[in-house]
Order: sequence, then C-alpha cells, then structure tokens
Amino acid sequence: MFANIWTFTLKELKSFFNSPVAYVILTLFLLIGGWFFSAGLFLIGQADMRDLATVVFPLAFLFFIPAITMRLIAEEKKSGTLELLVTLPVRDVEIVVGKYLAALGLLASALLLTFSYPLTLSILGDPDGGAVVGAYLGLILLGGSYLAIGTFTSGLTHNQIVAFITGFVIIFALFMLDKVLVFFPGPVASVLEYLSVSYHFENVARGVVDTRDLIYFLSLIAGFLFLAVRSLEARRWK
Amino acid sequence: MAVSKNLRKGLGTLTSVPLVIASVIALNLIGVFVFARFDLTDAKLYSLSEASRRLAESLDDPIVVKLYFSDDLPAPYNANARYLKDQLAEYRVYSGGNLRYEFIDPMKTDREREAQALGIPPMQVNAYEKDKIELKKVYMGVAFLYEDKREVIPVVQSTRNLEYEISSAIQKVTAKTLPTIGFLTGHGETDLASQMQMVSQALSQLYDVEPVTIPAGEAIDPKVATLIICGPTDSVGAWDRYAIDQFIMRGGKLAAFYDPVAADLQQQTAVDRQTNWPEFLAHYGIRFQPGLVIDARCGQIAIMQQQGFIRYQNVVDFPYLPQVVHFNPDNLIGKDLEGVTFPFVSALDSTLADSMGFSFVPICWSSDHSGVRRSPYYVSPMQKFDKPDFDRAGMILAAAITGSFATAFPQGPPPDAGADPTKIPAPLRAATDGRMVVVGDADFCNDQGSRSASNLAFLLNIVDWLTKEGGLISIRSREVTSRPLAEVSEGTRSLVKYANVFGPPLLVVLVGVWRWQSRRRAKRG
Repeated sequence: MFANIWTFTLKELKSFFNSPVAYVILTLFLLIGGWFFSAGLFLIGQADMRDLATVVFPLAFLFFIPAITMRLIAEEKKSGTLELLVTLPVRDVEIVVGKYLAALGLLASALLLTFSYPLTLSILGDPDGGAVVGAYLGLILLGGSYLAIGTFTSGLTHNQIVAFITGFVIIFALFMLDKVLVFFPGPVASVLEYLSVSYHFENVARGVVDTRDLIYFLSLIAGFLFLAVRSLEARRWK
Repeated sequence: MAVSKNLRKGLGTLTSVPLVIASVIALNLIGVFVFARFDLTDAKLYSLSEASRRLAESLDDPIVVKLYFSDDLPAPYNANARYLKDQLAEYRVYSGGNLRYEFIDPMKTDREREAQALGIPPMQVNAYEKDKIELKKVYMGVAFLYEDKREVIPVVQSTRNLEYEISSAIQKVTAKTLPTIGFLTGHGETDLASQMQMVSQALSQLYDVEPVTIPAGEAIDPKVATLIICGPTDSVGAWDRYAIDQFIMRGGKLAAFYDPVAADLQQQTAVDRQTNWPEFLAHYGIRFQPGLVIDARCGQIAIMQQQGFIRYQNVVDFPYLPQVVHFNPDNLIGKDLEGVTFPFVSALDSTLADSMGFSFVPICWSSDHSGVRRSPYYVSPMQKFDKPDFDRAGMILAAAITGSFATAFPQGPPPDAGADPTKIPAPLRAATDGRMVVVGDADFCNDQGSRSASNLAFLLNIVDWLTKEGGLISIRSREVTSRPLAEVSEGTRSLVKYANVFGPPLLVVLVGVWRWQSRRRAKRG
C-alpha cells in the first residue's frame, strides 16, 4: 500500500516539476511573501514574522492552494487516464493519498524556500524560536487542510476551473466563519468558531500547540480525503 | 451479477459517509474536553497561571470583554494590543465559551462617548509618521462587562502585569459579594468618618467599608477580610491584641500604618510615640527604625514670612514630607505610581522579618539623598538643610510581609484580658498565606494626604493586594520582550530587502531552467 502511494506521489511530483505550472505558482508565492516580509521589516523593526505568517500567507493560500490541487484528479478524469488507473491493481485511497502527498510536497517546498525570512531575522535580531516553529507548523496544518479540500473538489469534476472555484468557495467559507460571529447568538457562535480554520490556526501560529487544534486540522484533512476517495469510487457504481 | 455488486458497493459508500463524519465529530467533541496545550514560545508568554486558569474555568455566566483600542496604534503600543488579545484568547480557551471579547476602535466607529462613559480616556502618544514625531489621540482601554456590572482597565500601558490585571478585573466584576474592609477603632486611630472621607468613598466602590470595634471577649467580625490599623495613638489592650492575633491566624490580612514619631507641624514639635504597638507588631516581623526620614526629594509647604513690615506667603521645600518615586516594580502595590508623599514617616527595618523567616518585600524607598533625624526633633519649615543632612539612600518606607505567621499567644488568651475563659473559642496557632503591609506613616491616607491622587491610589493598591484571593497574587509579572532588529546601514537594508524578495523566486526559476535544460538534453540524447 505505502509503495503504491509513494509511486503516485513521485509520479505526481515529477509531473508538477516538469510542467511550468509549479514554477509559476512558487515564483508568484515567493514574490508576494518576500515583498510583504521586506516591506514591513525595517518599518516595524522587530525580529518577528507573525503578521506575515498569520495574515499574508493564509490570504495567499486561499488562491494558491486551489490552484495547486485543481488539476490533481480533474485532469486525469478529463484525459481519461483515470479509467486506465482503475484497471491497475491499486486502490482509490492510494491514488488520492498519493496525489495529496505530492501537493503537500509542493506546499512544503514553497514554505521551505521562505526559510530565508527567519534566517534574516536571526541574523539581524533574536526572533522567538518557538513562535517561528509554531508559525510554520500552523501554516503546514492550514495549507494541508486546504489541500485536502482542493483534492476533494478536484475529484468531483473533470473541469479544472470548476474544481478551483468550488475549492475556493469551501476554503473561503471556512476562512470567513469566525469573522461573522457577531451576527450569531452565543451557543451558535461557539460552534461556528470551533469550525472556523482561522481560530485554530491563530492559536497554533502564535506558538501554542493545543491538541484540540491538532485534532481539528487532522479531522479536516482526513475527512476531506475520505470524501475524495468516496467520490472517486462513485464512478464505479455506474 | 456485476451490477448488483457495484450497487452494494455504492450503498456501502453511502452508509459509511455519515458514519465516518459522525465519528470525526465525536472525536472532536471528546477533544474539546480532554486536551493538552504546549507553549512553544521562549518566555512561555501565553501560559496562564494556575489561578487565572481556575478563575476562567469557574465562570458560569457570559462575560464580555470590550477592547477599546485604536487600530493604528504606534509601536510599542500595538504589540500590547496583540498580546492582550492573545492573553484573552487563553482565558477564552479555559472559560468554556463564557468569555468573549471584541475589539472596538472608538474613533472609527464613532463610539468615543461610549468608551469615555465607561471610564476609558483618550490618550496622547507619540507617533512617527512620515519621519516626523506627531502627537496622536488613541484609546487603549479594556472594559469587562458582566451582568449589569463593569470593571475597567482605563489604559494598558505595558504588558508587565497584564495577566494579574485581567484576572483581578474578572474576579472583581464577577464577585457575588463585596469583601469587607475593617478600620480598627478604639486606640486613637485616624477616624474613618471624619478624617478619611476620600479613602472611605474610594474603597466603597469595591468593598464594604466598616469601622471595627473589639468588645472585650469577642473576636473580630468574621466577615472582615482585611483589617486596617491606621495611626493609633494609644496603646493596645491585652484582649484587643489577642483578637487581632486571632484575626491574623484565621487568615485575615492586616495593614499597619503607624507613626512611631508623633509630629505636629502647627506646634513645630515632634516626640517619639510611647505605645505598645511596636512591641506587639514585632511578633509578625514588623520593626520600625527610630527617627524621622528627611528627603531632598520632598513636598512643599506654604509658610508666612515677615520681612520688615511686609508679611508674604512663600512656598518652600520641606524634607519632612518625603516624596517617593522609587517603587519596587516587582510588587503590584507600587506599580505605575509616581510621587507618593509620606508626611513625617519613619523607615522600616527588614532584619527582624528576615530573622523570623518571613518574606519582607520593600514596596518603596526614599531617594538617594535622604537622611534621618532623631529625637529631639525640630520640625520648623524655616530650618535649613545642607547636603550632609542627606547622607542616606534607599530607606524602606513601606513593605509587604508574607509568610506563615505563628500566634503571639501560644498559651491562649492572656489572663489579664478580662474575658470569660469559658466562652472563648479554641485559639488558632498559625496562619499560612499570611499577608501584611506596613507603612511607617499614617498621615499619607488621611483626607489631607489623599488629596494627592497617587496617595489614594497607593492605599487602594494596598487594600486590593491584601484582599485578593491568594492565588492571584502569585501571578508573575512578565513583559513581552521587544525583539529589535540590529541597526544597519541603508545599503544593507536594501540588500536584505532585495535578497528576500528576489532570492527565493530566483532559486525557483534557476531550478526550473536547469530541469528544462536537462530534460531537453535527455530528449536529444
């Protein structure tokens, strides 16, 4: 099983990096990150990247992550190669997890390339190591959840644009949940707050790791990957 | 029958989806109640103390925290706002949803009047804008609303004791009954009704304030949480001593403001006071130093002077009114205070408390140019002081003594107390978590002294600190450390900026070009 997953991951990563798409996405992402990092750096004069990690990156994720995942399954559906995969002795869960891990790899390499920011901070000042670790952990969990959502929506359709838009809408809804709490009465607001990604993300990103936030993110990832597998299986019912 | 097999699979899928969703929800619900938190930050910035956590957990009705903060606060105040938000997020985690907070910019949302009605004043701060320093009007206050009560932190200046301030505000606003503060009477103390109206008025907002008399054979009213002995001029009788001792032993908190020297400015005289108070208070580690403190940093008084036939008023420095600016930043009583005046004060001696194993924490000190005058005293405003008069520095004028106090009456009530021994409850022998505040002066809080806002605030802080639930006192003060970047030249700045904006993307492009080239070569080969 793991061998099969790994095969899919490698294959998918290879196709990412053989097409110009990955390079365009990475370059854009890093230009935006770098610009926001540098613009505020000396203005604020603090060895701290929290605004970048909690404001700029989550906003960027809203757009970049559906862009990464939109073609994952939709493309194979469109070109018909998915039917080919079905004839192979692999299970749907291996396809989904393999492709998801490849997307996660792309996200990780994007974040890896932003390590120049904390490096800059530690040369010029003395950043709080725990806060930096928390920020990256939070970003991986947040991005990982978005990727799972994107993987799911990519499996729903053979149209990449539809996959992008549905993915964006779900992510945006989860992102906005805790910003509209004032319109809801207390108990409902508490539930909505728990469901919102931003609430959990901000907790982790400031350097406090709570098992509740971990459970939330892992549930989100596992839940949407599970739905992706099920939706992929649906085509066999016909 | 391939179709039915697929159909079965489909049905299996349909039933498994709700099942999985339900178990995910269940897992999250369990997680809400069984959880662990790890604070990764260097200074464990966000870990609430045990006391605050318990306080948050004990909330059973919603408390709303309104943060009246301007959006565009300049540094370092913007960091305060963020830390405040983080701290409240921690309270919210443990409150089980009963604590809710919202940020309000009073100026942008036109709610300045609402903020000011709550007691949150606008502040002027320096802001650097377009390379100019400008004065800016901002709000940085917090209001805690609970049922129909409210509690306010008017200005959040620093994050040093923020957790303590938040917790005391929550405790105060959610308290069901007001604690009772008793002022001892019967030994020539400063009279609460006629001489301490300001203090009594200010305290009544947060406490029940009552005079305390000790009838022979009776204990101090059990509802009195803190007893204030303010300026007794007569000795204390045997039964009263025993009652006060038992009050301390049952966990009552004590503030002792005592003038070891009786001074009278009108008569321009001062004599050492002859009472048994110092002897009694020594049981709890309290010892006064003989003499009056004089300080080059002092208050002024107006005197009438006569020159020839002309009488005129003149304002002169009067070193017998030390004005204290040196407060212990690690003790909450003197926090944020500036300029408390202690008329005719005597210094305190820490050695006795130390030798008895109590913790003796100075609250404030005299200035670096202070001195002591011993009997016989001459307290005329006309006298001249020279530099050699101020040969001492940093004498302790007020202190907090904490520890496990033992009773001064191990044999039970003294036989000369005149009480019916059959009616006396069994004596208590020791107090854990004992807390006392001592000041070598009682005039600072009478109506004349508390005309100064700092003096009044000092007294309120003392009462707050003594009366607080024990746990809150243990909340450590901590500062969000500023983490400034090194000063670098304009050239280095540009280099750093460009390297970060273009460096990583360039790396990506290079890898892309390299892969493209090698793939092309592989195709050719």
